[in-house]
Amino acid sequence: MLELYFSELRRFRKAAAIHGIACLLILVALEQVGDLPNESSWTHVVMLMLYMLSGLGLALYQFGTYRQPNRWIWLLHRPTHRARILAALVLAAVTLTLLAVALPLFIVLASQAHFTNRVIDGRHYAGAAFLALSTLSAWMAGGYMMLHRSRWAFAILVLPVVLTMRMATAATVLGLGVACCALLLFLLYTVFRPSRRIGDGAGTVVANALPLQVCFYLALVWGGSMLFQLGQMLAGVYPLSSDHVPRGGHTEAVRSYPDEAIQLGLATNANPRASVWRADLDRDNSVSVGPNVRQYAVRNLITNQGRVMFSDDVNLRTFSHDRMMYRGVNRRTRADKGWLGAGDDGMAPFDAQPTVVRDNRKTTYLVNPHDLHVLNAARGTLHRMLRVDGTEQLAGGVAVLGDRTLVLTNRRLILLAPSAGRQDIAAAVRLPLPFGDLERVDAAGVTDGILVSFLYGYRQTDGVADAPQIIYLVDHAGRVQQVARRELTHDFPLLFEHKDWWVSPALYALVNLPDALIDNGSIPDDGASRFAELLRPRPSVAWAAALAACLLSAACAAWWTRCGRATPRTRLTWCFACLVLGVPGLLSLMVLWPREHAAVRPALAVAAHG
Amino acid sequence: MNDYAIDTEALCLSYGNKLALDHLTLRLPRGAVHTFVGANGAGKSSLFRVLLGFEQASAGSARVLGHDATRLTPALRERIGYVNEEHALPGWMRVRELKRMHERQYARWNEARYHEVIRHFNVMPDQRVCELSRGEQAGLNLALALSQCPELLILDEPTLGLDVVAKRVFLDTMLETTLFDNDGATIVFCSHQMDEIERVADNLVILEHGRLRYMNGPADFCERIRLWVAAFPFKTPDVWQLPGVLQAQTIEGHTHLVVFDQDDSFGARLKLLGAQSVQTIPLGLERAVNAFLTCGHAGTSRRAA
Repeated sequence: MLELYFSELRRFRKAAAIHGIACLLILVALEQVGDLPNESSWTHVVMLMLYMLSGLGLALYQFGTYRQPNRWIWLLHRPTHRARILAALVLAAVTLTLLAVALPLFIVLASQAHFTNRVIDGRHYAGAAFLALSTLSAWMAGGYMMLHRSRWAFAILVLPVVLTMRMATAATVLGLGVACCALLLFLLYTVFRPSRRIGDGAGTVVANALPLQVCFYLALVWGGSMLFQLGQMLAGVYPLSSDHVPRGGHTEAVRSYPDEAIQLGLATNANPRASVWRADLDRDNSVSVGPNVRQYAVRNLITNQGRVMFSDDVNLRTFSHDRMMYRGVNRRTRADKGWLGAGDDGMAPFDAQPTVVRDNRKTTYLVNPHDLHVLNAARGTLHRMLRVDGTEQLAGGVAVLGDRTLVLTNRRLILLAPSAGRQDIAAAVRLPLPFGDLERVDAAGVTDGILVSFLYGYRQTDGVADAPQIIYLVDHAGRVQQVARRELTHDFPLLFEHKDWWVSPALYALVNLPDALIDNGSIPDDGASRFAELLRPRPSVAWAAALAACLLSAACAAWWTRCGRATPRTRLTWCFACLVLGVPGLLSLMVLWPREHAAVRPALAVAAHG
Repeated sequence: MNDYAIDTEALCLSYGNKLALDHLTLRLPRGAVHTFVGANGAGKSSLFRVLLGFEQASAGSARVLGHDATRLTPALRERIGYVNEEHALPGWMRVRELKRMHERQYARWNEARYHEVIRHFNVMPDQRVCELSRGEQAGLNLALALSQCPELLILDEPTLGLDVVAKRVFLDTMLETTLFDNDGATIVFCSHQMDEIERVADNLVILEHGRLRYMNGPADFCERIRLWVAAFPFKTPDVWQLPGVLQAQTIEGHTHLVVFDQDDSFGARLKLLGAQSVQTIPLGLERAVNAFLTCGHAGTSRRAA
């Protein structure tokens, strides 16, 4: 089908040329006002969406014209296997994507690397390849949507989003992109047949059903959540509304200043010294200690996480993942100012990309999972303040209280004290619960020492039941003693907090499994398994809801397939699938197995003459 | 080997609640020109789509050249040519490229036949398909289909929208090339033009509402449909009670009845109803088919009466 391949190229050559040149001009123009490869991930997401839209648009037009009945017959009624015909179309789309999407991106990146002092890493080229791959994914998804007989086929668009949009390494994301393209190609092939029906093969049905089920799952969870919250707003009982903040709850604690948060924690405390501490508390002697970072950029990240750039008084520095150092240019002249690395001499490469945080005194720090550097903005130098090892990771929280510098990690709160021109660890308070649930840490200076408050409940709306506030006193000698604890009330009903899970426990696991398997730089809970989130205990009410939803779905599936062409085995399989997958499984059944109309009635006695 | 080019058994095709094919049982022998006639929506194109595997039958079975229509292999598709009314060729391709593509794909490609057909149409090899007139596109489509040397050639209203000259050239070419250079091919020709049908048909198939209403030679069909003109001096009786009446009209005081499958005794029946004079006139194919199909729309014909 070489002729068809060339024919498609010829058909879209003008459109591809216009697209490619337009992209090139826009990219060059944007590079003049910014540094696109090192912009935030949101900029990259917008670019990704625009490129995917162009791929989708091409497919909708291309397959839209071929889908017309007589043109479809022209395309497929020939002595050539449909796989070869599809291959010609896919190869044409690949060629067009390379010319109209990848080439302009590579030209811009290569020219930036060659002619400017900007940082262009290998990951940026991988990012350009990923954009081209995503455009191709969108093209395949568009082809599938156009050829599929169900209007619900648009659900396929969920697949590239769920599968590939991850804060992972370029190699991982490219691998996922290739896998996504392969899966979409298979799905496109299932509908690229004369009748445009997906067929009854088990593999084909599963491959077609799964994206639909994930789409329905996400729609149910997100849509249901939105509707529920809207209902609360209309009823005037929305917990996040400023007029109806529930007392003793998570929202109230989160919205407090550090001294107020500690006051709330001490409010009902029976400790005789509590009244003295409460009297001591004010806004000037209390600070918030983060956490300011919950996720770092992994090395060779496909996009950007945190701040890749920072500037001192003179230079603008951009982090390079290839060298794991900052490249500096003069802010005014853009002249090259060399490389800045970790350590006091600035010569060693960083372990991981740092991000910029500031303390309560506006001092700038560069923090990555293991190193905390303080920036001397006037001299443009770094000084390593703290290093942690092993599984302990810094959480970006830094605050200064008196002569103590407080630094938060995923294991403890470290109190540094000045000693002979350095900062030594004077005391440490171990986190009482997993770091992932930690909402905020506050500290306040009192006459007895420093009060440290750990407020939990960050993942309360994701189904974590415990949300206490625990306050410790660190006395002048560095001894740590728990002085107060209170349980925060739940602002939302339990079923709302566990909605992700009980709607479909199986799909919850499936959707969240990649997060557990792929390192996205999130700061882990100290000592916890990466699968801990998937195995989180659920209350009985959530179990009951999940069980009811699954049983109801299975019963509805049995009713839905009670008549028609379903064989007993097929029927049993669907019922079992609905029992496992819950409501999303049932909805996918209703789409893929629509009720048959009663049009085919028994033959009438219509005699033909002749 | 199955002797039928097309063989359907209780074939049903539904679009939602509407039946496009209603238990259609049809057996078309090989090696003849079968013409399909039917009103719009009678199910002709739907039948062809099922036969080519582009629609999945709701019930029943369909076999083409002895093979299940749902499992047509590329080798089988090579033996089936198809020309539709839209001549949906890719407008962006050049004639030369299109021809080369077909030439490479069809093992039995007949280059001489292609040139023989295409010479009747003013088509240049370097022209793009979108630059061709509708008649030229039809000619190109026919040339491509005939040069494939198919065993079964389905022509679905190929002359629709063509002017008189283009239509004549198309039919002449088809007849010259296929009928008189016949290599045992079966042709299924669908048209609303009765002059075309009369010219090419060996067998007439009439479909209505997805059902087979008639299948036999066109001459036989014309013999079985007759026009009776009766003069009733007084009030015209209810002629619809008579057997075989397809159409009844009163024109200038005379009652015109188109009747199917009735012999001379029908005149006697009319006289018994009070007709003063009765005469019978043979009908042409167009009028006969028109009356036959109009009968299905009972309300229309009875109002006319």
